[in-house]
Amino acid sequence: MMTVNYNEQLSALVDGELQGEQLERVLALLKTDVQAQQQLQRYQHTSDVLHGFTTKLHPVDLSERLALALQDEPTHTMRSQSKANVLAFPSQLWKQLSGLAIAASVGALAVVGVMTQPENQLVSTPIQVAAYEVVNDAKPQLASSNRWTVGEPEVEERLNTYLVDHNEYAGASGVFSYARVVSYDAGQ
Amino acid sequence: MQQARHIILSLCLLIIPFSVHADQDAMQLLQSMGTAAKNLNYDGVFAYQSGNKLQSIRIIHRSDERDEIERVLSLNGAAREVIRTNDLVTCIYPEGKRIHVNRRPLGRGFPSDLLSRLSSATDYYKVTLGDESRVADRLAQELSITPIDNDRYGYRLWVDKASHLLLKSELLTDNKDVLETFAFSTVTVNADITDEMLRPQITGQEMTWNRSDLQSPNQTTAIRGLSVWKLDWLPEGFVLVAQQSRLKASTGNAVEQRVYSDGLSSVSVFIEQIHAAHNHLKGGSNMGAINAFGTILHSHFVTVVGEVPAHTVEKIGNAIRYGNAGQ
Amino acid sequence: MSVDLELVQRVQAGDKKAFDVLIMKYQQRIIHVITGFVHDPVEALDVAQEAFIKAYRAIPNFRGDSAFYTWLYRIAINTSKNHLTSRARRPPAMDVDAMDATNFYDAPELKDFDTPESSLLNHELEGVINKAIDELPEDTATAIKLREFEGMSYEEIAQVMDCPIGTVRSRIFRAREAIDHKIKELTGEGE
Repeated sequence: MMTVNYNEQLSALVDGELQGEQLERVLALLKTDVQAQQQLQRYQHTSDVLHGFTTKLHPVDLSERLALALQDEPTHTMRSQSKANVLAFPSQLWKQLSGLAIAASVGALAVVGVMTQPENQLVSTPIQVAAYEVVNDAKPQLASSNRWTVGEPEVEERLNTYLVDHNEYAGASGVFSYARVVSYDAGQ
Repeated sequence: MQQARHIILSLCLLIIPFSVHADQDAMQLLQSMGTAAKNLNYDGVFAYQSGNKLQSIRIIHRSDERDEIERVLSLNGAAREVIRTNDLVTCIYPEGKRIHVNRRPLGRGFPSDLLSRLSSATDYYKVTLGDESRVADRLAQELSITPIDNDRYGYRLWVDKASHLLLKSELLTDNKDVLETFAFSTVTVNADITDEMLRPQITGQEMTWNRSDLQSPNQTTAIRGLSVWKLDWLPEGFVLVAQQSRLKASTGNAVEQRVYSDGLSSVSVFIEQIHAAHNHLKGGSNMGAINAFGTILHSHFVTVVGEVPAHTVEKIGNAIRYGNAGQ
Repeated sequence: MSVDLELVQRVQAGDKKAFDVLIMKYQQRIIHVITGFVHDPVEALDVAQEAFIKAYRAIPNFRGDSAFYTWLYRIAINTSKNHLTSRARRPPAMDVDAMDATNFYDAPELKDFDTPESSLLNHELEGVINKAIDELPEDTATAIKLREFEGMSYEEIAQVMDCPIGTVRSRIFRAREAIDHKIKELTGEGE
């Protein structure tokens, strides 16, 4: 049975306010203690609801399904750290392993992940696939973009609402004012 | 005949305050351009270019004694549509299966109060007639509109000689760089527009209707506690031309919009109550030629949006104060 | 060092379980983000799963130049876009090829993902939570509000409320306990 003390630390973990030994202990606890996992989930979900990070439907939880899917994923060994027990695989082997993971189909998802890349972006390993995307997106957007240059959809959506409201007054003509709204570049 | 022209000219002088910058013929053309956009029936396709993005858009506009209705739809990319009627703006985003319906701020014809605003622009822009050229296979008169300072952009407009409909428009920086171009490639003026043509392509069957703020303007102004905001700076000539408060259906948050304009360029200031720690724009952003600046003040999202330079929205954003600080 | 970065470094060093904590922390946000692109809820969950798996695979490349969430968020957006592109590209007649068949069996009913709070709709839950906050003692309510609504750190809250950081931590915890209690009451879960 968990102590109240741990619950308080779980609450602090939700806020990203846990360090050092306490963080160590809580993370160790979370590895084995289902009750602690559930409690963390509850606190986190309360916080998510307050932040509006919810869909219209019932609350959902992906963690179990993901844990299952990740079971088949190789363990990372890229950087060793004194705190963790590391088996240092050569990075070449890691790449082969992930390649195998795709070939052996970790589930259809792995295949979909690669299939959905535009053809000219097909690359050999999933690591590179993901890395490519990230680097690509990290570039600052051009001022000419037909999309708000913001990173978050929530912010973007609010700006879009404002854009519609503002367009009623924008421009010298009134003829073209809603062109920006229908031109909004959702797909990139 | 001579006398009639004289009378018309005098009338114009009454409407438009005299200004050293104003070229009378140019101003008159600008005025009739506004009327034409509102009163004519037209059906055309225009290109909207901003940076390297090019969008092809069809516009169908019908106006009669009672109603004004307009349908704007994108022809390439996602098939989005905006339908404006007398008092509603409906945005349809099929890719997201969403429909947004907004009550139009002023609930009358559009372009909203543009005509009444134009006359005040002459102090802040030099308006001159340019050459004649051909746009969308029609003879057009060019109008050059240059601002007095760099807090706002300039325009180059091409107006149809026959109907006075705006055929092409460019938004210019103070270096005369073109930020945005709208240009008809083809347009039929006085077109016969059927109800069918104004109906959205996509029916709302599998769409989520998002009727944001359909309470009447009278009700919305009753929202209290939002008019305590003060602006310490605006570009010269910008005055409050519209103000409204509404409740967002999605969040229940009260949002106040204030529109400031010098007659041609305009800036909206949005002030939205925060009920939860949603993220918000901090600093500047832009969408084509539209700049935005966001900040959080006194538990409100404050956002300045306008077709003015980035430094202008930023300066306005930084000049907003909560009036009753301490409450 | 931030908790996220600490967790990321653990994953990079071979601690798979540390990734579970990152999933717990960010799954709602990521599902929320993806729902903005992919509107079918079951599909959105699939895309979310895909995004997390991609993130797991790419995590050796995460160098901490941006916040972990920003990085994860970009992956989610890209995965959503790719999903939409591939769906649009696939001709409707081909919809029962092997890949889809696998996907079909993989795609469970939404109720499989229900949480204990699932008997309440999210917006109902929000109401319950807000009501619970209103009923809190003033200090506790202020602490949780500053944390959740204003996004302040414990240190900032301690300054505002003029109390030690430890007090802030316990006030926020007490608020969460009270909220949790209210939810359990309503969903009929025992203590």
